[in-house]
Amino acid sequence: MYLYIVDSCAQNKKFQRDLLHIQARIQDLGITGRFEKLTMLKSIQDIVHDAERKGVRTIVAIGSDKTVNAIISHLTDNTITLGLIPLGEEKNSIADALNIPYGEAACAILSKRIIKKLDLGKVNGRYFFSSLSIPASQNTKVECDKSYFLKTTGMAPIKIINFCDNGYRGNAQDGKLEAVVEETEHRGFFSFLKTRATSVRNSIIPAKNIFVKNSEESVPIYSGNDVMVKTPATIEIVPKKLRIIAGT
Amino acid sequence: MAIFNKEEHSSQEIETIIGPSVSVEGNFVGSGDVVIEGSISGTLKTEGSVRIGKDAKVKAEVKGSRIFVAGEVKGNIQATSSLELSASARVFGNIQTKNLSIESGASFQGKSVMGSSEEDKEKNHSSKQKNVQAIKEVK
Repeated sequence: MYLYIVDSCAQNKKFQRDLLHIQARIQDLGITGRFEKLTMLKSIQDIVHDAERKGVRTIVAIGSDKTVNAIISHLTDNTITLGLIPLGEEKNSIADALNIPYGEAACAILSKRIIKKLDLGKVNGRYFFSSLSIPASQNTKVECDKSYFLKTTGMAPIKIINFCDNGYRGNAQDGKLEAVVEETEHRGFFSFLKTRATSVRNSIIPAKNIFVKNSEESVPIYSGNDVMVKTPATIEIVPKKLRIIAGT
Repeated sequence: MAIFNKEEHSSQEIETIIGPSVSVEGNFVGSGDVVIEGSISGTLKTEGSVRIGKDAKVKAEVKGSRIFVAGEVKGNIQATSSLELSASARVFGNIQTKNLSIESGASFQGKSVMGSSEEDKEKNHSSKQKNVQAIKEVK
């Protein structure tokens, strides 16, 4: 039984035709299911929890990376398989990495049902797939694998990456998270007036378990632009937890 | 699978990089290659190679297979395969390795032991066996 969740970014009039083509193709391939459109009154959380109660086996995200990450963050049942049909103008780097083509063409991938098992991250009990972002702060302590502390003097946030984030791609099959700190160097005359940040070699530190706390106040940890949890937070890797339909 | 696309920055190229704005405190144990451009204090152990950059500050025991030092290290270094100190290296501690290379200009204060501890153990073990055999022959 399939459940298709159509994100608001794919509900734009521009994509109505694409959506109709997708629905027709799904019918042709015999992978029909219920369509749920996200609205102000219907959140992803309600739809995912309702689907779990009803025993849905496959949830298909029609939208972008944001849609996939939002669905995963509300999943509690690890037997559900996730599919993806990229549609809309937002980033689709997850689909790209999994060799899933845009729009209607993704339906053929769904019907082939090649399932990959990928790692998920878990922060304070909630799953995440792509990455998390911890704002830079002198008071934030990051402890990795219960054996060493990580401190950063730069202004860049610490990214905890499982799969991908802004061009950096982690390996979601290695059983590790990666703490990534973007390094910047300031060049040029009067650099204190005009700083031109140039990217140099970023810090990459693999870890299975990360504990974040702030000595002064609780700081937010973001998944994309949304606050997922607040510190203190325990972040861990859950190997091969996600069943996702991928291209060949 | 495209997850392993080489065009993007991948963690598979180098496993750990500690950049200039990052400092690590504690016991860091890895299995792959480690590049240090920032600072680290405590211990650093890896089965892979270690590269300590020019501006890096290391106050730790360092263990690895091939170790290259261009920055400052305060602590003992044990390289199972080779150790290279470049002209800008400043090492304050004992070093142990099979192959040692020190470039002109490098500063090093400490003892150096050539050969790995495993080799020493083997040598000790074989010499003990020879002694036992000799005793038996005498008897």
